[in-house]
Amino acid sequence: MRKKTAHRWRLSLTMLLFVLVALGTFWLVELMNQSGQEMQADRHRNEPDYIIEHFSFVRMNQAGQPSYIISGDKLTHLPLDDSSDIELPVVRSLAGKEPGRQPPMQMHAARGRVDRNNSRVRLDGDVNVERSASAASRAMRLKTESLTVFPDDDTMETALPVALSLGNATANGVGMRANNATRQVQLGGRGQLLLPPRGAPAPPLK
Amino acid sequence: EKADSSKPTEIKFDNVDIDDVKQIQTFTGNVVLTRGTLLMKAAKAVVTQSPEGYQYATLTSVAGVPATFRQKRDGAGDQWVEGEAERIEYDGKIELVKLFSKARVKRIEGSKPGDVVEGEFISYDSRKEFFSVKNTPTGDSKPGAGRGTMVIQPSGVNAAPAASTPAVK
Repeated sequence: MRKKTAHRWRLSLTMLLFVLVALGTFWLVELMNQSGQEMQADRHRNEPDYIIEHFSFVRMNQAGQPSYIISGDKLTHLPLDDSSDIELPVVRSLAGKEPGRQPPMQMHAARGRVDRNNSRVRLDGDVNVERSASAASRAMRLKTESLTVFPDDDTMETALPVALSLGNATANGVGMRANNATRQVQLGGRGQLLLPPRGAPAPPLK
Repeated sequence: EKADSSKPTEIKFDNVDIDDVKQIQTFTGNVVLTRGTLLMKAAKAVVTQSPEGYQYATLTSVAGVPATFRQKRDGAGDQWVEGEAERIEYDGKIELVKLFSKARVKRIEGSKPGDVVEGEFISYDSRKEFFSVKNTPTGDSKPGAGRGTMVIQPSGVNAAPAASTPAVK
């Protein structure tokens, strides 16, 4: 083969080789991305990333004092929506420093779920709320099947039947919204409130 | 009835706003308040409780539907007092029922119609069973203001036959 043509063959061969290598790397990048997405939508994705037993975590308010404590038997945190499910949760809101602050309040339930980055706590299953009496307010006890608590703005609400006792008065209704900061309670549904005659002891919650 | 003062007060409502700081309960929606034989109905009621535990209720009516109250009287037989007005105030301590504007109180003995009193303002003391009627909705009496009427049923047996005999002729 004459010298000129031999040179052309070798050149085109190396060119072809280089093209193959380029395509190869492109294919490799494709492979990497593809497996990345697969990993994202992986069916293991919404498995809990941590589980704590017999835990208790304290949430501070802006002023840096502890505003409420959530404890329970088992907390399972789900990274998918940054929520955590709790078994046998106990939510304790602490009395504040200012004189008007209401006394500490305790909430027990069978199950709980904290979401919306810890600004909403949903309690389900035999929810009991107790708040001890204080100089300014009467003792409060509340029983319902499910309750949604917004600890940061100190309100709680439910749409289910509620049995409530405030001091010696007992009331029940369907649906309730309570604001603990101003200590106002709205009770809905065809409800009923019983005020005992003067001096009678408080009847137990039915 | 005197025994009412030792009975619990029970209030049925559609919804209630309880303000625990001022201890005021505002009931709305077809409110029924019962305390022993005392029965009060109204569209809206505001019940406050004094520190000693006495209850004060103010029942207001929606246009057209007056607030009503009904209570058994102590005397013999089945004696009742019934009243209605646009606004009723009940003072649990001295057990005084005040009826404001277009007030009407009726005494009933069994099935017989009893005396009827109407006026702008009537206050009825359920312990002493004492009425007082004033002619302004606010409770004080000004000359020339509203008028009250009182219908007293003929009492005793002799009145009844006279009414029936003319029919015989």
